[in-house]
Amino acid sequence: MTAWRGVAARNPREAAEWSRGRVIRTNLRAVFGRAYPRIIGLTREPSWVFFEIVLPFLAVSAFVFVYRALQAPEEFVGFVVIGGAMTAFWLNVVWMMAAQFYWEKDQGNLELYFTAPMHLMSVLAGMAIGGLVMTSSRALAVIVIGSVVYGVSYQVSDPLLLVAVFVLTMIPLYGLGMLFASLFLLWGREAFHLAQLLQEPIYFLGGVNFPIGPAFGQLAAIVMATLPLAVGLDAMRQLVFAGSETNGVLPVGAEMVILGVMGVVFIVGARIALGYLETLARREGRLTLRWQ
Amino acid sequence: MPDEPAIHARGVTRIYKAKPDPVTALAGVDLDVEPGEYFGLLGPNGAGKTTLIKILTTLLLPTSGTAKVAGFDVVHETSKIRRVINMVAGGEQSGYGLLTLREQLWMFSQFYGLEQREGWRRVDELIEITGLTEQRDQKVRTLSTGQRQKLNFARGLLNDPWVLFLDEPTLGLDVAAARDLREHTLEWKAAAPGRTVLLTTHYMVEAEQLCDRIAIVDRGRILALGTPDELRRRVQAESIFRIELDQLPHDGDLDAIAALPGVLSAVRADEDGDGAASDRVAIKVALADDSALTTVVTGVAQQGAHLIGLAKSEPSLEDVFVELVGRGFGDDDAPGNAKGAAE
Amino acid sequence: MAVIERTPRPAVPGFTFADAWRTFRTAIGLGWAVESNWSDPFLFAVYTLAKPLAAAMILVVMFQVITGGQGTEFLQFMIVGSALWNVVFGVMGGLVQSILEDRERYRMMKYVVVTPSSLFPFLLGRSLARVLISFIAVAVTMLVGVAFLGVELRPNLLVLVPALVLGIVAVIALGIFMAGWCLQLRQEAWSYPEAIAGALYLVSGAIFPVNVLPEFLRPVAWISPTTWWLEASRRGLLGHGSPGDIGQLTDATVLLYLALSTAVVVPLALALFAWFVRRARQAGLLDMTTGS
Repeated sequence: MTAWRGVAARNPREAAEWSRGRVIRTNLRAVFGRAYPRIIGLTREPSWVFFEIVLPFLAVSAFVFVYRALQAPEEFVGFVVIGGAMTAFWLNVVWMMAAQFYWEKDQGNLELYFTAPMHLMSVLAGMAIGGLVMTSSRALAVIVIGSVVYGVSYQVSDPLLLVAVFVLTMIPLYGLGMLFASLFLLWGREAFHLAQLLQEPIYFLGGVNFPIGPAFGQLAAIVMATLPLAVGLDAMRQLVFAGSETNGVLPVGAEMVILGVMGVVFIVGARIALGYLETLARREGRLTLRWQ
Repeated sequence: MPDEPAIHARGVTRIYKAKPDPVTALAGVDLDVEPGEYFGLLGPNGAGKTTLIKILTTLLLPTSGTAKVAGFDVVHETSKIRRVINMVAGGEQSGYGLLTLREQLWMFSQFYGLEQREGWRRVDELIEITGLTEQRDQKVRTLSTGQRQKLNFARGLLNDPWVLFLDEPTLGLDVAAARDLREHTLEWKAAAPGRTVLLTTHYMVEAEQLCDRIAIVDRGRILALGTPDELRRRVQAESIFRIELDQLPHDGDLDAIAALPGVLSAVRADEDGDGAASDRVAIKVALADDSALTTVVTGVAQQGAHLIGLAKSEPSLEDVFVELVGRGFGDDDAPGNAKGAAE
Repeated sequence: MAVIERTPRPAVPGFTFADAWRTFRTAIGLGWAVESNWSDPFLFAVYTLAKPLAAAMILVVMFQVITGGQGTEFLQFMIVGSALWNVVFGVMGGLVQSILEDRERYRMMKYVVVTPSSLFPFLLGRSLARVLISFIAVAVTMLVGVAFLGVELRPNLLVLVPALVLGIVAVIALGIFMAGWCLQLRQEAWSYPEAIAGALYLVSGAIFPVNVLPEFLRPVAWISPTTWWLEASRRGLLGHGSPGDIGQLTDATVLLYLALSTAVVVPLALALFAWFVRRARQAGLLDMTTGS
């Protein structure tokens, strides 16, 4: 068959020697390759319009009505709308990042990733970028619909700073997702239940439906040190409701520094965890044992 | 051609922690596969074939022993190995359902570092070769089992690997699909020197048809290794032929046939109830070598008998296995193997 | 041609109540084996407790932030509603997940369907473990509410017992309907229980009085059995009704509305379930895997 291509290198040792540039290019291509299914899913699976906009909107509505029943200041409705939009990102991190390698193992894709020459961080980065693109459209839809339906008005003090805070929030958020992806691979069967566990408790600690400063007082600082969702939400609320009487836990600048540090810690931590866990998984055979 | 083995294993052992007792999936495997060879691992379920392949493809670490693929150590040089190998497993349902067949292959081309345009070109080439042109824009979740496996196979060739690992690639495929896949592997291997294939299978016909050499594996050990002919000769050194004639030569005295050069024995076959029709007679001759057949045929013709039928009786590789182990492939699966762990 | 003597075909027994009971009992064992397949019982305990408690605490904190702790009647209203809603999520989620797991993950649905056993008792038994786990969540939330959050129980068994019995029957009927509906779906079926439970959460007066809802949604609340179940259960536990119009009705009226709505929902749900299963057979969906 003339169509079968011949090997270019004279021997496998030559074929296996890749330059640093080639390694980098391969990993960048892998990032794009893995992001592709998530981005293309926006057009291929239109059911997301219902589930990933209507569902969060319903959840937001429930808490809006609670605040209305409590006769809370109207800005609290805005807090809930913003918090509801951010839960879309958190759910994406938990289900489409943290638990993803577990699902991939179940489907048989994980083995194929491990035998390919790219680094798994590239796969995770691709999942993160694809997830971010996918979820941003949903979050925006929830904010727009929620704001229109419930008459939320915003006072954005610095739009550019708001974008910067948003980007800075996404980095540690998805970095945490990468870290969890390694841990979930280790914990196997519990992955599904762990993912479930990381919903309501995180909404509570992260102040998705209420400002954590007035809610937790001094304890808020502890929460801020660990949860990028809490820090990012607090900073974004301060910027989006600039005239609000409800203060943030820390100034926006300080919260941006915290987010930056978290981003580095989580991403570096993810890389280390992934390397360690790959070795452990290969030693114990967890990569290939289904139902483990 | 490289001067070191494509695959080299010495004392490779793999023990899984399992309850109540640990399971030894591999118990000291020694193996050398030369570049350009089509090598088969043949054995029943639970023999350790898949465990060995997973060690060689860097998915699993050996508990002890050393293994190298293309000269690189499987424990310490995994990234280099992954650049020159690929793997195709049978019975898989892997793949992203919402992607089209073409997109699925392209995505993997990116994982192997192919440049965009080159990636698409390679994908389209492989789609054509594997006969998936009509399905190229179909979503992966709509493909049949055979089509998925062809897709899987195409993915396995994306990076033009030096060593291709096939783990029961025809599992669950119908006769035509399995035959197509086997032919593709042979054509691919023949197209360039140095391409090596390691196949695991429990289908004897597949191993005999494809492999230059076969290792028979059971309970984590290699029991025998050689070409298919060499393995069969372990069970039956002589060649046995069933010859159907219109009449018995030498007035039924078969000793005259047995006395011919190269003939070890000659007996009536139809007296054993081998179902010969009444207008013909059948004899079974055992020959030291196939070349003695000419002497026998000439001899019986000189006695006025006409040759009606001729068939060679050979032991199968399962006969070899039974000879080595004392049980057949389907008998008494290896005890204590955790499901999915040892294989 | 030789005549083949045929032995008379043995009488085919009908499917009796004893058969249904045997199926139900066996399915309970299966459901429990699936649910108890945790590698870490501690994590299971945490998961069982943390999720419902966090959901309740979100409401408690929202209440505290706005009212400073004044007006505990509304707080008790929210805690009881949040506790009881675990049953709705548990039942709906349990029934739907059982059917989808058996079809998609374990791929055993087709083998169950071809037995003489009916799918209905199998499904009920299969999901019972998950339902019972949701009752644990209710009990724990109520316990914490009474011990730490100021919930004052004044049980009225004459109201509470019929409320619980009728309410759980109604919720199970809704879950059966959902399970049958999800059997028809080719995609996203896993998300439907959450979507429907979320919609009911909004209109059933679970965490805010029904009269806070916009006018056009109130009729939906009035016809839903979950609304009357929550109201009756609150009266049975707390000794008083909810704020708003529904709270003005007598206990007998509330129980009557619960009985009527349950009497409508149960036969409708059973009939629809049977129709869904027949339709799934026609469309070849009983052994379909969606890859989701």
